[in-house]
Amino acid sequence: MMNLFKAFIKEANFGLALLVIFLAAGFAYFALPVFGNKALIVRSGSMQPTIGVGDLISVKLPQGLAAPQDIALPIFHTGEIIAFKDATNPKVVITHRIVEVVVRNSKVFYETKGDANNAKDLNLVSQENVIGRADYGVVAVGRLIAFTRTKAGLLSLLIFPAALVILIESVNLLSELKRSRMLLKSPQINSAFMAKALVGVLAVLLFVPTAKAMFLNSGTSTGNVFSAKAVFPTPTPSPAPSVNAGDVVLNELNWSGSTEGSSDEWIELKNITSHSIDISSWQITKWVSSSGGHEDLMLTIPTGKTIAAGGLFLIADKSPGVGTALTVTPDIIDSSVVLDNTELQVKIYVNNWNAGGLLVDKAGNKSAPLAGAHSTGNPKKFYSMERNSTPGDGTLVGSWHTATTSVNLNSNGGQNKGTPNATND
Amino acid sequence: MINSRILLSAASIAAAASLMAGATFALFSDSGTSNTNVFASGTLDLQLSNNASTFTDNVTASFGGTNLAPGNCTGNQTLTLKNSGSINGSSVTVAATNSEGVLSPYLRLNVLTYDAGNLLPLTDSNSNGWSDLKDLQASGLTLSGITAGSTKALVMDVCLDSSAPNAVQGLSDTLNLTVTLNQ
Repeated sequence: MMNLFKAFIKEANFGLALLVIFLAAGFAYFALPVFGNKALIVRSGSMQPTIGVGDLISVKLPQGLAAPQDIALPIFHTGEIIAFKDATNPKVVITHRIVEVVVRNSKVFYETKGDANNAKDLNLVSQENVIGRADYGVVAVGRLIAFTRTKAGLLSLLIFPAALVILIESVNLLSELKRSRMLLKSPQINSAFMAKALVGVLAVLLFVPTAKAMFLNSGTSTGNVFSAKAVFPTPTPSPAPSVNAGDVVLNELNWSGSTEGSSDEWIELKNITSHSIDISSWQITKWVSSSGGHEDLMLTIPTGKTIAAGGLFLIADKSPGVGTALTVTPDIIDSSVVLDNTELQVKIYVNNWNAGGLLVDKAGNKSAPLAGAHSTGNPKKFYSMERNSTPGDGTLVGSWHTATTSVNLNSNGGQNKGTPNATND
Repeated sequence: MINSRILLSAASIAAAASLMAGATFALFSDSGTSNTNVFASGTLDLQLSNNASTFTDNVTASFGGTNLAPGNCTGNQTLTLKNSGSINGSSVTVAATNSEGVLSPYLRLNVLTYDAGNLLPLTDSNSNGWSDLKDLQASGLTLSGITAGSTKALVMDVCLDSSAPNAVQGLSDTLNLTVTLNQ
């Protein structure tokens, strides 16, 4: 009875050992990089139901297709499951399905997604980060393998069997030593070949790496509307600076007409301050020589007219193209612009000149114009009277000079000179 | 004379002992650096809420303001993120798009916090001197993860910058945010 049992143990032991060796060989092919395969334990569920938590998968990098990165030749295809190193943390291996192959700058990238995820992965996977394609997997085996890495697993599956092997072999060793010395036959404990083989296989399992099937999940917040008011409120205007005499000067007077006609006359104003000035309702007067001479209204500036800081403002008798040498559009066209050639004086007032309006500037001294030229002989001269850059007193000859160039004006062979709406010479 | 049996036994003992030592070393050197023994069974599920009490996958109008005049702000508005799944999320990414490219640079981010931490300034990709919704679109956000079952708040206060020109009067920008929780 005892002998029969021992014989059975021996045979069973041998059979089990064979089985273990066979399994170990199969596993080695499946898992060891030497054969082009690599086993990975999947430890999360974003590829469910294709790959479950704890499955063992084998990934393979197709042989002979290690294409250089600069050749846009995708090794893998849409729909295949690949294991790849995470772009942000290369220690983490992720197993996801390719949803699109992208070629960018002649490099191949894969857009990936976990089957159980509702969004694609954030980062594209470069071809060089791909470990291989997952071709087959073994359900739940990964869990067993991972168990060997826990303390309990290590104790029960490795330390304990190994200790058993050491114990048995120690007994064998002692008995062998005894036998060789005393030539006594002592009972042999069988050599527990299976246990030894099993310990070896389990030790290999310790080195199977793991892969994540990385979960991700998205939510959206849409329709966050930011709209600007249809009309922005006008900022409360700061009180307009009060106007002082000399803030606006009579900058250029073309009293002599032009080759286009004797009434082609115009007045240019200049704002010499650094702020804009509203000249609405301002009035310009002229000296009238008849009846012993008196001052009279020439024109009132319409409302809504301002002169920008340092800007010019042109008031002309004629519309452009109609009897005028002007090539610039005046700010105001008013046929009352008539400038006397013998007793010239023009004044500009804030509001009503005749009702206490502030006198802002004056030009001329009621005698012949202080500058400019008028000649209908040969050569004809129609030269404007220009204020000096330092305006000074407009009634003095030293504040004026005669135009020498033509800007914004058809010079007609040098016969017309002046700089309407342009800086004076 | 030592016979082969003795040699074999001695070799087996040595092999088993070194295996024990090696395996033990591998386990303990590994456990400090990673949690490779942890299996993440379960799911990751990000849900959002405008009022921090009702959570859904997708929400609308978490942020925004109408009739903004230059200098007006929306005030602090909050989008609450919840990991309604059973496993921890390690990071959160936010991608933003704007529908109106002229207005969005003037929509200045006065406040931008996540989990009470300040995220400003963003990279000033349009070089206008402040962080705005267009910069948010350009840079996106990468934020800390959320453990299973807990929440974190994303807070924004958006102002129409006081330098906004009349050209943006009446314009309307729709900001869409895609928030992703990663395992």
